Amino acid sequence: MEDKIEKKLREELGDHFIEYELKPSNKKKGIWIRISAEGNRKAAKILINAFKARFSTTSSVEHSSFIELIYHFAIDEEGLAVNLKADVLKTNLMVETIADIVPGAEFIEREIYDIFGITFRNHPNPKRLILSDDWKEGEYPLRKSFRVDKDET
Amino acid sequence: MKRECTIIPMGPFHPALAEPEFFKLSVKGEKIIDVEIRIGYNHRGIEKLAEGLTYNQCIFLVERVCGICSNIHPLCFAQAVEEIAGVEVPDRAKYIRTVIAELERIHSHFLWLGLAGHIIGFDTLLMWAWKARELVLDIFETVTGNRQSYAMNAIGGVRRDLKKEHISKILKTMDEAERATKRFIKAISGDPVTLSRLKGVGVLSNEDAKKYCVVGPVARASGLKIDIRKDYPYAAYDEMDFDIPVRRDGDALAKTEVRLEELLQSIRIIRQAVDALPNGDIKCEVKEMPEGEGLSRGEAPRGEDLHYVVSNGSNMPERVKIRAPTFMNLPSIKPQLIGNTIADALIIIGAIDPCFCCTDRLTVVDVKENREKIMSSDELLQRSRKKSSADHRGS
Repeated sequence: MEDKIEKKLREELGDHFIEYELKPSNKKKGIWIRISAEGNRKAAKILINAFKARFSTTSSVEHSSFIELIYHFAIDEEGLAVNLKADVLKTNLMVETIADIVPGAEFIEREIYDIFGITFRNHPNPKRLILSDDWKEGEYPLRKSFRVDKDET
Repeated sequence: MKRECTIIPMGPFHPALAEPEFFKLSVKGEKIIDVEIRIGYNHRGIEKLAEGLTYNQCIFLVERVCGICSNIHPLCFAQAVEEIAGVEVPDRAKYIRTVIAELERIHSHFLWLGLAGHIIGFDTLLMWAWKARELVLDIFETVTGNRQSYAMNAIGGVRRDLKKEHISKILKTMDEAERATKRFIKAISGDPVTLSRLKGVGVLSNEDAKKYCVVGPVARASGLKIDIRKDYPYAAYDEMDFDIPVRRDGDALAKTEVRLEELLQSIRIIRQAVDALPNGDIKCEVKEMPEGEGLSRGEAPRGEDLHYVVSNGSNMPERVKIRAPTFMNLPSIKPQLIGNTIADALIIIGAIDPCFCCTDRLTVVDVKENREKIMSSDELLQRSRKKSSADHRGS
């Protein structure tokens, strides 16, 4: 299965396919594929439509010049975890949404906007999810630069 | 069309589960035609806090993500860290983890069953189910010292052993839990009033279940045969013999039936695990944390729990991502509510067994008061201070 996924994604994504790695996860196999952020929609479509993958969530990790998004998928019948990694440059924190392809991604994309400030282009419902509406624009609490005040009073 | 409807706010404190959540129901007459969900009222910034704590401290932090599933979060976290460290947990620890995880499922499902009964006005079920749950909490108290937040997990294994006298107590309680479960199954399937409150209510179609990527009993009630314990076995689940109950109807009754049958399966797993409990250590040492990443999944009582941990080689994690099951199940409330009546809204929301504390993990509090007014966190703080100082004077 993992070979098929690699082959298909490599073919369809072309230049957007960067790196492939096979690693164990929960005693089962896990695939980690690095793609360019522009290839996220195509890759998600292939995984969902051709391989019946279930979307689990998207993780976000801050690095010095970019924020890394990790799309966690699972192909339950095979017990195979498929993870797509895409870097979004801090100079342009924008990426296409996948929430129209998989509605299960709507909440997490709104959460990532709230806490990391990545804009998901064409998101069906681009509102705040967990922060209050009067939260200061441009302040993203999970960024390393955000300090939690010891005493807000 | 929306202009002609009435807006009914539900929350921010959920009337049945007493947890903060806001549902904005648009209704036409009695019928719900649209729903907007707002979360974040209870964010505590756990992912952020984790970045400033050592791995061993994080275990106790993530245990506090949820009071009901206080085993699965530290278990998933520990597994992700063990994956980074490349250590293999001793077999005995794996079995003990399995026993505790299943006991947790039993107490959680009993808790839910009682609440569901309460929501539909079947308070006898609440009394029965919580009485049965109490027996499980007694085991937790005997084995771990705590009824909730058992603090059993450690990186590399478990912190306490299961003793012989524990095992006989567990087995005895399992017999009682089995009798209770069978009684509940009979009480529900034989009661036309209960059936009419649950049947055909809040249907989540198989297609919608896939679209919204729901997990756990909600997914299994809509015909999706997924269970992390089978699909990505962890702890000692690969050595256990058990079935995954599945229903096709996707209504509140299907969700109830799935959970009731899961109770019997959990009892089955616990009996096997304590019977085959291997000898040996309960913990292995983790000497060093290399750089790397770990992904771990576990089946919480409400479905898939996912922890993703990034290590920078120090004794504190670079990033901890926690995805609790209700975060996936909650958006699916929308298709379940639309077309139903306001009277059924509570049981429909209740039937996904929402756990908002797990879902909310970030910073600030916001509360929507009355219709249009949104209070800022400062205003809330002021108000709370005023109230507590007034209370103080009063006493």
